[in-house]
Amino acid sequence: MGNEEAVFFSRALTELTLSFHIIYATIGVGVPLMIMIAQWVGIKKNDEHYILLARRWARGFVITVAVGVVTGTAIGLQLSLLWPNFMELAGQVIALPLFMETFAFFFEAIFLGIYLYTWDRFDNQKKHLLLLVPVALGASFSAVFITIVNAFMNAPQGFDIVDGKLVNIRPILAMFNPAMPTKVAHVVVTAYMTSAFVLAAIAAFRLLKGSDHIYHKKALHLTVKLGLVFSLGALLIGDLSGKYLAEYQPEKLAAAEWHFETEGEAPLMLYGVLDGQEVKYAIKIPFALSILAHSNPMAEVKGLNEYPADEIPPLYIHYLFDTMVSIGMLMIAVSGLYWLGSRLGWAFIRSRWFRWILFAGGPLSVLAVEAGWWYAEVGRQPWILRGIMKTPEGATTSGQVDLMLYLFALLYLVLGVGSVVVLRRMFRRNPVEREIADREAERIAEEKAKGGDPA
Amino acid sequence: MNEFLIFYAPFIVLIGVIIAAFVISPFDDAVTKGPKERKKK
Repeated sequence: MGNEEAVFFSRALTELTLSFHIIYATIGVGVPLMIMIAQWVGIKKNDEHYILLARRWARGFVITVAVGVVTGTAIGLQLSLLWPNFMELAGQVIALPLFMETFAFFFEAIFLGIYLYTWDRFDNQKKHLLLLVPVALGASFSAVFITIVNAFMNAPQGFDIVDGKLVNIRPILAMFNPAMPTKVAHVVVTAYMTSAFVLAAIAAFRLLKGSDHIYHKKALHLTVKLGLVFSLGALLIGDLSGKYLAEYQPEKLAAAEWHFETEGEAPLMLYGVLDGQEVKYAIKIPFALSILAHSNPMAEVKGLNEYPADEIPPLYIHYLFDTMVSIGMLMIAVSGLYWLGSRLGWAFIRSRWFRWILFAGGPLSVLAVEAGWWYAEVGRQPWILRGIMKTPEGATTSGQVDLMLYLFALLYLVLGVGSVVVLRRMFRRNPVEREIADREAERIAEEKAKGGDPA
Repeated sequence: MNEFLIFYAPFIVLIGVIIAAFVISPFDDAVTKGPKERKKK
């Protein structure tokens, strides 16, 4: 296997691993906050349905954590094995958040274990809820620290290069690089948004399948509202990301928008086809790119023609960017309509077709996260460490990467199918209606044993 | 201004939406009460 093939298979394997891991990681970051909110609402309103929501989500969450641990370990391994030159260089500067990510995960895992095994052990539910705080913090900070590493790859700083060697290393400065705030906030808020819409899809599906239980209606109402709030947050932070890109990675923004000439009053291009440097059949939104980049409709936006041809990212990232943005806007519209409809009593939000749209929102949100990550990673090309190391320079020269790709693909297939089967069985064997009836029977028996009135 | 938008505003928005999520979550009259009950309220 030649070096070019090794680079190709290293990129393919890393892409496959990240694309698979991001599904479980996103759910793993977002769901603890959803559990926390549901349990908090349950305690506040003394409503058993919300408490049960938290219990059932927590059970499903454990499966995603288990798979996320396996794929997360694979990423750590592959970073060292597939990108040894990159790790040798970058590891000297950015190892700190990699270690901190591990500690954040330990923090989450320890308290998750205690949380799961202490349901019904506390007379005061608020104390049990407190155990979720470190779980949610650990999950979110895992994402924060690992995204800091990715941000460093986009905007490396905190070191000097003298005679090809790294000197004067400042890890804290490396962590607080310019890409960090927008990237971290965007990753975390979209994890919350996606988790909310995935849980909404499950509730919508149960209602579509004929259940009319108030439990599912409450679940749908709560999660769609949360999805709306977090998708509005994602929109605002996405706008701030545009300002970061215009300032620090203008070629990435220009490639996403097929913006070739540096000019003011730049329009935003949606969809379309590229013919040379001419954009055909696109929807042009006047001034929108200038506003996105500089909050000013007249502002000048740098075009791709300012850069050498070998430093321009692949132009197909335009479609990845459009996919992410289109799904985000669609989810704001759908959840906004639901919220408005629920307040004004519009009947269509309870119709089957609208519930099908809410159901589709789950997988679509996951697709948006995938498209967003592909855009982030491909948009950084040809660099693995922007301005310092190109991707082929960071890769292994091993001749065995193709075999690793096939074996890992098989592993992810087994993990993906296995986790879906386990989740389906877990919830099918223990439907909500039965669990509510069981918990009610338990409560009555407890009251009787205490000599009280069960009613 | 740009420095504020790139370095500080993302965290302010993130914290803001988490607080907003907790604030709006308890309201579920739309599914637990009928339209007449809600109008009375």
